[in-house]
Amino acid sequence: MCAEIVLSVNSLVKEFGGLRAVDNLSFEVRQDTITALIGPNGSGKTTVFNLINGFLKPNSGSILLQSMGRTYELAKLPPYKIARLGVARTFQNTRLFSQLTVMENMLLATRYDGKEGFFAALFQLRSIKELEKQNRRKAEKYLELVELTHKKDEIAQNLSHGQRKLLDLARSLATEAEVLLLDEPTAGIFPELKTKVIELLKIMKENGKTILLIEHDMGMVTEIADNIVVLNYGRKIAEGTPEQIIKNAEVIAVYSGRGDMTCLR
Amino acid sequence: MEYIFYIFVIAGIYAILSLSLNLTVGFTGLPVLGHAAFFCIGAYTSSILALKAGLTPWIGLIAGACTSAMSGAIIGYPSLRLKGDYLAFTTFGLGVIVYSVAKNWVTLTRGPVGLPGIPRFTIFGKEITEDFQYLFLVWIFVLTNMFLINRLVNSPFGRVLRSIREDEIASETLGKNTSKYKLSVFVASAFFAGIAGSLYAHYTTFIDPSSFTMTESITVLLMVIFGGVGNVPGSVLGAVILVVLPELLRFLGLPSSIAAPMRQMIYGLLLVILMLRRPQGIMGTYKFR
Repeated sequence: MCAEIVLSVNSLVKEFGGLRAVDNLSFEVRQDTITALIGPNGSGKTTVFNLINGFLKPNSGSILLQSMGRTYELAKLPPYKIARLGVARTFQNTRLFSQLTVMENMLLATRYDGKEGFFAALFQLRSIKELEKQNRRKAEKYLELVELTHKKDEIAQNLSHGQRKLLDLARSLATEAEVLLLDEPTAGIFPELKTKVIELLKIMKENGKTILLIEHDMGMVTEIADNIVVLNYGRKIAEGTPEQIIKNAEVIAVYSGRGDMTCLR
Repeated sequence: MEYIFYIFVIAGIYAILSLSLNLTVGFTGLPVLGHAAFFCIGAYTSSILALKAGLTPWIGLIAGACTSAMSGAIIGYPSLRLKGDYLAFTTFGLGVIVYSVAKNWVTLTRGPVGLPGIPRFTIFGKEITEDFQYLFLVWIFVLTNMFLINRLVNSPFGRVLRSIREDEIASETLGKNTSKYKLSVFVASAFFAGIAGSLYAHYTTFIDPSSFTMTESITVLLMVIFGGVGNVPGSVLGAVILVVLPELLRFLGLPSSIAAPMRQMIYGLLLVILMLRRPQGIMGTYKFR
């Protein structure tokens, strides 16, 4: 655990009216690791994601990203800039472009770096065609990874729930982001597919991706996470390796008190 | 024969309007309710330049399109930064404002009396007076417009537009500056509508505010929905059908007091049938949202 810190969240506070959804939260995400964010429903996990990727602005605190040798304060940036710095995310309820094809969904994630502007389209720069070809190959590579190649010309809304989850994951990979925020990537998909996703996450980690994961399945979390952050009412109540968390009395109390974590051995 | 030419000239002008509206409403999913405002700005700018400054209609055409695009930028910049349906209100507001300016700024627009005697287009010093010549001119513009819009939408740029229509939040998560895309497409749409306005003014040689009411905006919107949301040839087809169809009613020999309301009723009826049988429009693939 001595890898470099990629993302650090410092004394983050987010209030909705009188409710403190995130309460003085600090944690760090290190390079090439999987960090899991767990906690009961409504404990503020998704809010933390929304803060990191810029959909919400914190009341106070900072979110620092190390990218290409520089430090960026994410709390001041709009979502699209954060995405361009190499932070991708998936959503708990997938947000695909449902009337576009699987391939189009993938291509939208690949990089065009200024080549998808108005005038580039009007004058049909030749470099676009070349880039388009390259990106198509890239997209195909990632589709293969999630075994959706045969569906590439299908309209996204015709996919099953599990396939949608996989496409969302592949799309976040196609952005070539270094940091991936994954909101319950295995929720509601059947066990066989689940093991596939777990394998995929491991491969991604080995390929140098840094993953922040929201997950309810404790079996999965203890299997793949290097570090676990436990939230309750927006506060961090514990942090540590899977072994430490499982033994932590407060965590057990929170979960058993809510009857929510039957899978905690 | 002149009559048929006339109808198809008007159909062509409406085709340009519905093509340009399809860019925003159809491809990008922006709720635009005051498209006639840009039509009006193009028409008045071009006519006033010709009548008061004696400029050739060709310069008026470009000036009209640019003024229209500029007003699009002014109204679009604040309202497109927001997500949701605010644009519906601001464009509706723009439609009302532009109409009342045309009606009440009497010193400039002569108000409800209208502007008569607008000069026609000239080519190599010769004035275009014949309807069939004008038919050519307008449809060259339609085809150019189709070509340009096709280019725009079948490109990475167009793909981003469609992604905004599907899910703007997801598009932003993938690093797209959606406000910028929405603004550029909105301004382009206003530009093309301005061209349509200028073509209209120099063809009819007379304009008054009554050609640019809210009803006009809704009619163009119907053409887009009719032909197919997010479909380029569909927009042209929608415009031609909705212009030609009411004209056919004239041959039924109804008195004009009945014919005018009948036109509106038939629009309504056709739309209801279409939405029930084919919600994506005649040639469309996407559902209207």
